[in-house]
Amino acid sequence: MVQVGAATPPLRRGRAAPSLLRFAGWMLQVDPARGALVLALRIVQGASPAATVWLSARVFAEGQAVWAGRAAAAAMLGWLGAWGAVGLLEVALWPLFELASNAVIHDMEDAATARLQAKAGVLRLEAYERPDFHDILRRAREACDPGMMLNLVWNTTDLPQNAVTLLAVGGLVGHWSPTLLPAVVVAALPQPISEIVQARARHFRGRKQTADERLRGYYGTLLSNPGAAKEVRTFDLQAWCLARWRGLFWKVADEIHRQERAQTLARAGLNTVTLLGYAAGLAVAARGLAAGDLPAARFAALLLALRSVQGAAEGIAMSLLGWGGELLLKVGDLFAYLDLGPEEPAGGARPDPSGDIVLEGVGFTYPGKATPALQGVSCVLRSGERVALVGENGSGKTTLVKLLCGLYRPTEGRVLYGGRDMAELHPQALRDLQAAVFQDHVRYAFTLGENIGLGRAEQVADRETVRRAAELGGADAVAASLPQGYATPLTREFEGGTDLSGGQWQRIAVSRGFMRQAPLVVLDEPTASLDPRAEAEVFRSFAQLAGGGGQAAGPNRDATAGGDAGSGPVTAVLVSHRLGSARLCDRVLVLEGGRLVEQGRHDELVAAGGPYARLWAVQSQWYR
Amino acid sequence: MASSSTASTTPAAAERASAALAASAPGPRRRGPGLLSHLRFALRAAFRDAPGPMAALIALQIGAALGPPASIAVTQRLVTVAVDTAGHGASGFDAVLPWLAALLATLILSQGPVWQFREPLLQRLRQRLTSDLEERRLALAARMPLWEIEGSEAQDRLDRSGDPGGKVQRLVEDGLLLSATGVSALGVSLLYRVVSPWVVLVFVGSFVPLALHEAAEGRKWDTFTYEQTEPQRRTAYVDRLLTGRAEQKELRVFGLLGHLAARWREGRRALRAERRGLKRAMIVRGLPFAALPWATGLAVAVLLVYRLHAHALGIGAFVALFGGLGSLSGTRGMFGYHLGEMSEHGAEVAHVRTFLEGEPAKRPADPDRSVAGTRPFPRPMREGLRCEGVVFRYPGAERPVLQGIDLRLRPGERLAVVGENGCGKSTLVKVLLGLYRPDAGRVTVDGVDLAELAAGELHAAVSAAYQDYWRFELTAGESIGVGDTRAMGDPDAVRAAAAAGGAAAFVEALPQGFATPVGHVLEGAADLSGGQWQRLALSRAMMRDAEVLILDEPAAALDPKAEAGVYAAFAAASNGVGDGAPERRRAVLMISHRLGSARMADRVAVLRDGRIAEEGTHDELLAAGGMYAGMWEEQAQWYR
Repeated sequence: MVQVGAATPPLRRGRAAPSLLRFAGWMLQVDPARGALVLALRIVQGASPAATVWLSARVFAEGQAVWAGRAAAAAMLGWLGAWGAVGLLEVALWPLFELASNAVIHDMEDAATARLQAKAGVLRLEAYERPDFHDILRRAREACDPGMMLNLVWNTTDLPQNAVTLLAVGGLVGHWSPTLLPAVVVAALPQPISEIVQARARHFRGRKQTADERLRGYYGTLLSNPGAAKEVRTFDLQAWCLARWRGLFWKVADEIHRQERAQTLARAGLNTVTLLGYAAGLAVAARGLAAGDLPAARFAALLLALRSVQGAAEGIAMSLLGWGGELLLKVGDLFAYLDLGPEEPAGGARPDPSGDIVLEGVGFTYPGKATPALQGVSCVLRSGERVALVGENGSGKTTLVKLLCGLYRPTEGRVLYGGRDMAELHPQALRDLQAAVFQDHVRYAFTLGENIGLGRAEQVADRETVRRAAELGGADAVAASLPQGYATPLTREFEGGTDLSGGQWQRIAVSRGFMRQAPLVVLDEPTASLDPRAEAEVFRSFAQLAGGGGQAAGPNRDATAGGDAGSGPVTAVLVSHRLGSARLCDRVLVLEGGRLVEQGRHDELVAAGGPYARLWAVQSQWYR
Repeated sequence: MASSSTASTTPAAAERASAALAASAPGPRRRGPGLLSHLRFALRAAFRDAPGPMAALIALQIGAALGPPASIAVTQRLVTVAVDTAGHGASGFDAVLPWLAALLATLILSQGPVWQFREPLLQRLRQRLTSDLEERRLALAARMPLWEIEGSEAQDRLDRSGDPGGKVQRLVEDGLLLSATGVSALGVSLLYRVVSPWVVLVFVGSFVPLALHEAAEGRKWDTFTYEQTEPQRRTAYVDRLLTGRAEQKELRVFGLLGHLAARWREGRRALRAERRGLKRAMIVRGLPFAALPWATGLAVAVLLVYRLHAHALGIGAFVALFGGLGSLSGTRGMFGYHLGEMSEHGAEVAHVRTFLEGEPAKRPADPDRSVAGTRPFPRPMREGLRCEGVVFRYPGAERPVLQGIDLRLRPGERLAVVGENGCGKSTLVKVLLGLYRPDAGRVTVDGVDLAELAAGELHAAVSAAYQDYWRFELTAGESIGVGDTRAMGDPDAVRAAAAAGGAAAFVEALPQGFATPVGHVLEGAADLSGGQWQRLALSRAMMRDAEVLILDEPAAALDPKAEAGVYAAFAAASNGVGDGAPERRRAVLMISHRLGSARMADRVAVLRDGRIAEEGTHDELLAAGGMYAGMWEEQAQWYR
């Protein structure tokens, strides 16, 4: 497993053959019955050229006899019937194959995407901060494309089919003319071998160009994305974006085309060699014919057989090395992503819901970054305490929040929850004890009710709970202003959806946080876009959360999944630039440049005249 | 489509809503022009954009088309000679050799080395088409009015018309391959005239039902995929949530991964079931069309035997024509395949055409967009911006967000607009900036309706920092500079804007300063915090020498010091224009929930339920004891 730490190792390059086996194994695992059927059908298809060639040779031989008047037409018709039967079998099996392969392709597509999603969910969050993570994910995603799966399934099943054809027809040819076979097979090889080199060159050129391609795509996004539309119009960016798009397009396109052209010449040359091999094989056969060693009927059948053998040999080499090899390098990208680590632990100890949170010399450095975002932070958040986290933009508040939630592991020091290192705790159990509202909350293109209810997915359909959470977070007013209330689909991204203002979205995000009753509540800038009244309400709800067991903390404490989780005191952490809210807290932690520089009660800190007092003076001046 | 599922509760509301949408939604889908028309469109575009590659491709296809009949003809001679000379020693071998060479020549011409040159030609064709059509598509998207591009219908149309170059190229390729296959099949069929002219007729005739069948299936498939666009997009959306970077922490903390994954599976299953059902039916319906070639082939083979028996056919001809049956059934299969592909790709090209050639969507309030305004933006502005009874309703919404706004913004004036979440402040901003056209009433500048201004005039004279600003993930300098692309190459201009917007300090601290990439699109990009992004957006707005500057909650994510900086910038912005002459004073409008900032404004307007509820200076409104005074009290209590 490729670990993600402060130093990110480069991913190893995928190799084709192991990827092929892994893919085939995966196919049989995802859809055992149909996968096996597809493979079996392709093996049968692989045998049919040999049967056709052999029967053709019989038909030709009988034909010669008939023509020479040595035999009656009836015997020939018998062979013809057999030839027709093979054709009928092909016709009959084809739809079966198509049905099964269609289903397999769909299942594989879904399985691949589901795996991609599952991996995204268990990968530790630090991996997302890896500088090359986006490229890895993007390439993995490309490997899940519908077209890609189709090609992969075809390619994987091509191999056994071609192998059978090669063996069967090759055996026939070898039987008829032992000298012929190796020559023909060898002549078929140069082209596919050149494909190895070419496909790898294309694949890695593609990787190199990913950055340019992505930027070009981004300019396209700017022009067509509704989110960018306001600024693109206000600043008249259309022509500028298009010019940049065009420049990048031709830069990449010309490079690809130059490579393709150079490769084409090589391919055409090698292909000529293959055909010359075919012709040479026929010449050898013709010699045997002239010498009387080979019957004319077999010579005629060889016309068919040699191409068939060459085709199969070419096909095998292509599956592994050429076009197929390129595909397999791509699926290798998917496997590289699936092998990425570290993952969240699958198990661990149950956390003590009423324990203190202790930070011991905690530091955190983002992967690939030289300077730490947090350094030497030590403090204790006592159970039931209300704590304000204050500091300038970029001082590390949000990073600290992620550490508190166990989303990141400290790169230095440790975080203890109820006396145990957070790293030892069961992640799911830990999260059951947390509720959080993030600064960059998600705006789900679902209904208003679902947007709130997803704070506790099991209760998403429980209208009463959703309504009470909405009241606590101020989303009830949003519901009241919409004709369909909680059933209103949000965002105009989909048919019939409604767009909301930034403040309305924030009320929804805060309400979502209030869906869960948890002993640890973290609110990261919950009121940035709220109007004064809504802001005051959120602050009040927050104040009621902690201390004294928090009767008003959540709408339905009894329904908490953790059982005992709801009964204890609530530790509440508030990150805010609105310092007035810090007055509500038992303690204020002041961060500066990733270090904890001050802590204490609001009044104490104001009296101390330190960094906090200066911030307070700047902000409170507007209200005096 | 869109109108049938419009969100409305009462029939009357539904009717109104669908009337508003009628122009934007296509309604039940009409059957547009047919496949031939799309093929014409594709060929015309291909010849226009890439005449050279097209000519070369056609030449290659002609070679390929003549290959199979030529091979069969050569095989016939080859086998005849081979049978005649079998056992004749060296002289027999010499007789066979020229025919072997001829066979090799037909193979080189039709499928071997020459065929390899098709790929780069197709690639060039695709690139030229993409460059032309994708650029047109993007330009059209960028010209769409804001309300339209924000809607799902436009997003569906954009989705469907994606990769137009690839789509057109595929259709052109289908056309070429289909013609080549057709010619080839005809050539091979004609060789059977020695057996019987009827055989030629049967072969050629058997293509007709195949063609009709494939065309019909293509139409069904097209309708099906069209209807799946929206559900498909919804499922893809859930998938994006599950793998999105920004979404991960929330999905984990709320334990949503399982719930959303189940949702995705459900959506997929529904889409799949339908798709599979249709495919299965198509395969079953296709069975007779697959059996037909087999049956005719077998019948002709039997006929060949009798002809051979009757000595009406030589052994060479028999072998060649018998082998030709396989080639013909292959050709017929390819013909059907290409035809199917062609109708599928034709449907894709139809989406491209609908988007590129389609009528622009309209709202009842929209003026005729073909008649552009001609008036210049008055510089210097003397009377300022004015809203007169402005009403605006979002398409599909039941009631208007703005319900008759009367508001004035004079040059040199600082106006604060406050109000509760969702009261229409941001919508008002978009109307003032000409991004939305009012449904009733008008917005004027020095008495001239914004609609009468010449293209580009308004945008050159206004600037704005939006609440939901976009993160331009370019370099930090570019992310600011896009505020005025003419000046973005000037480092001093960018630096000055960064200073005015409060971004200078943190940008200069980045590893490569203004040249540092930000976000995730470029390699080695720095990740910024919300507050830092907001300061970039604000600096972007400061790039322009604007007559009107609009700041929509510019300090929401900022720390107290940065917030103070923004308010100072707001206070100073009104005398910020160019030479600073008194008659060149900027009008500034700021939306803020931090009412402290409203004290710095010359005037405060309170928006409520889509109307201006209160208006006056901070002190006047405080004294009036109305809504503003209540809001002030709520907020100021935290700071006393």
